[in-house]
Amino acid sequence: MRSETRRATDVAPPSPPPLAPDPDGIAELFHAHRLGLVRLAFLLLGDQETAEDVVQDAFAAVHRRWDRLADHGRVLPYLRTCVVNGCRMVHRRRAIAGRLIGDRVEPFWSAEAAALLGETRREVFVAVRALPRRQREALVLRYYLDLPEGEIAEVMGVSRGTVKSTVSRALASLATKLEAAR
Amino acid sequence: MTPPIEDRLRDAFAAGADLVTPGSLRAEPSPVRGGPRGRRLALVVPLAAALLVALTSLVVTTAGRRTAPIPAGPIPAGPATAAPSVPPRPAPRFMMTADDDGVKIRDTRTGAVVTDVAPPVLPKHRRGDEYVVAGNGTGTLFYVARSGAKPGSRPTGRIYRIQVSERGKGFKWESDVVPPILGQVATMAVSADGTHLAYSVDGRIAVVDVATKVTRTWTTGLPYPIFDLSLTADGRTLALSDANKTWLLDVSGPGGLLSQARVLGIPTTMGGVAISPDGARVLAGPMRAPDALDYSIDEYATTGGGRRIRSVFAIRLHRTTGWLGVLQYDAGGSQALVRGIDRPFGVLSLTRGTLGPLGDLVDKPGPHALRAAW
Repeated sequence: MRSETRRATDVAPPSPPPLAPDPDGIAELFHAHRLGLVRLAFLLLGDQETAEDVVQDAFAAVHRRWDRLADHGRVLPYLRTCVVNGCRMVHRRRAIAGRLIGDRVEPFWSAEAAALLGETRREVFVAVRALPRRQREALVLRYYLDLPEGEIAEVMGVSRGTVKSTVSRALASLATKLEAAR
Repeated sequence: MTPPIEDRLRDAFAAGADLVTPGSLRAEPSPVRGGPRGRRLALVVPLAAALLVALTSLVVTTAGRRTAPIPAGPIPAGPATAAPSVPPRPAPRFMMTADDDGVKIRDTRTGAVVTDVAPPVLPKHRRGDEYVVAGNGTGTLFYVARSGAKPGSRPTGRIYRIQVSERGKGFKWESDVVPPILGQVATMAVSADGTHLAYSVDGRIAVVDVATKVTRTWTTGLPYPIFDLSLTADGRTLALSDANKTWLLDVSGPGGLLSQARVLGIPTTMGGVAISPDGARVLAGPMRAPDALDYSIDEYATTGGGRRIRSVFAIRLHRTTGWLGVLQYDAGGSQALVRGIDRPFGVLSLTRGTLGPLGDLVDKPGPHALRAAW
C-alpha cells in the first residue's frame, strides 16, 4: 500500500463585496437571452421541455446570487455555464434512469423527426450525439454560439488548450464518422 | 463537393436551434418581481400571501403533512412528527464532491472548495475516468473509487482512502487500500470506523474488510448496477435500493445472492435511500404524494417490514429540474446529506425538518459537482 501526504492546492477565494440587487437587470437579461439559452440547451439535450426547465433554473440561480456576482456585465457567461452544467445533470440522470426504465425522450434529430431537419443535417446530429460529452459541448459552443476559445474554456471550466484539443479531436472524429456514413 | 465539416456543423446547429421558435416557448414565468405590474400588485400580494399562510396552516393541521415552495434558502418546515432517538449535533465540517475531473474537499457551511484533491497519475492512454466517493459520516475519512479503461479493454476501478485534517487542507492519500476491482464502480459506502467498504459493480455487491482485504460478494441478479448503497456504523448491515425495491442485507455472512436479503416495504423512489448509523431507520425519498405535486423525504423503521415512521420534509417540486434525493446520514444520525432542489446538495436536519442549501457550488464556472459524501 502506497501512502503519501499532499498539501492543499486550491483555497476558496474571498467572497466578492455585496452589491445592490437589480431585479430589473435580470428581467432584461431574461427577455434578451432566454430564447438563445433555450436553443443552446435544446441542442445539448434534444428536447425543448427539459431545455426550458434548465434555462429557468439557470435564471433562478442568477436571481438568488445576484448580490454576490461581482461583475454584472459577466452574467451571460455565468448563465451559459449554469445551462451547460444543468444539461450535464440531466444527461447523468437520464443515463441512470435509462438503465431502469429506458429513454422515453425522443430527440429532435431522431429518425421520426428527420423531416424537420433533412437527412443530411440529421446525420450530423447523430454523429455529434455519438461524441463524448465534453466534445459535444465544445462543438455546440464553438459552432452554434461562435464563442472564442477563451469563453468556451470559461463556460466549460477547462483550459484554453483543452478546448483547442477537444474541438480538434471532435472534428477529426466527426469527419471520420460522416465519411464512413456515406 | 462536400462542404467542410465546420460549415456542416454551423448549418445543422442553426437549423436545429431554429426549431425552437419564440412562439413555441412556454408562457413566460416571472423570474423576478418588479415593474409596473409588480407595483400595482403591491397591496394584493401581501394580502394573498397572508391568506395563503392561513390556508397552509389549516392544511398542515388537518392533513398532518408539510409543503413548501421551491426554496431560495433554508426552508422552515415545522417540528418533525417524531423526534429521532439521537440528540442533534453539528453537521460534519467537510464533505467531498466528485465530478469527471476529480474530487474536491468542500466546507459544508459555504460549499467553497477547501482542497482540490489531485489524483495520482495513472498509466497513459487511460481515458473516461469516473469518480465515486464515500464518507464515514464525520467529514474526515473518505474513500474514492476511480474507474476507467484503456481503449479496447474492460474498465477497472482503483480505491483510494483520504483522511482529511481538522482544517480540511492537509490530507493523507493512500492508494490501493483494497485490491483493484474489475468493472466500473457505481457507488460505495463505508462504515463509521472506515474498516468496512461496500461497493457496487455491474450486477454484484461486494463488502471488503479493509484490514484483511477479505472480500465477500453478493450477486444481485439485476441487469444494471445498484446506485444506492448505505452501511450502518458497525458495517454489518447494508441498505441498498434499485429504485424499485429496497433491501437490507446482513453482510456479516459469507456472501451469496441478493435474494437472501430482507425486502423493506418502502415505496418506489428514484431519489435514494440511506440507513441510519444505528441501523434502526432508513431515510428515503423523494416519495410522490397522491396528488402528484408534492414530494417528501420519509423515515422508515427497519423492523416490521419497513413501516413508515414519519415524513421528515415535504416540498412541491412542480416544474423544476432539481433532483432531490437522499445521499447519507451523518455519523450522529441527526442530519442527512441530500441532493438539492435547486442547488446540487443540501443538509436536511432530521430534528427540525428543515433543508438548508449547502453553499453555491456553481458560483464559479466549472464542472458541476455531481456526487458527494461526508
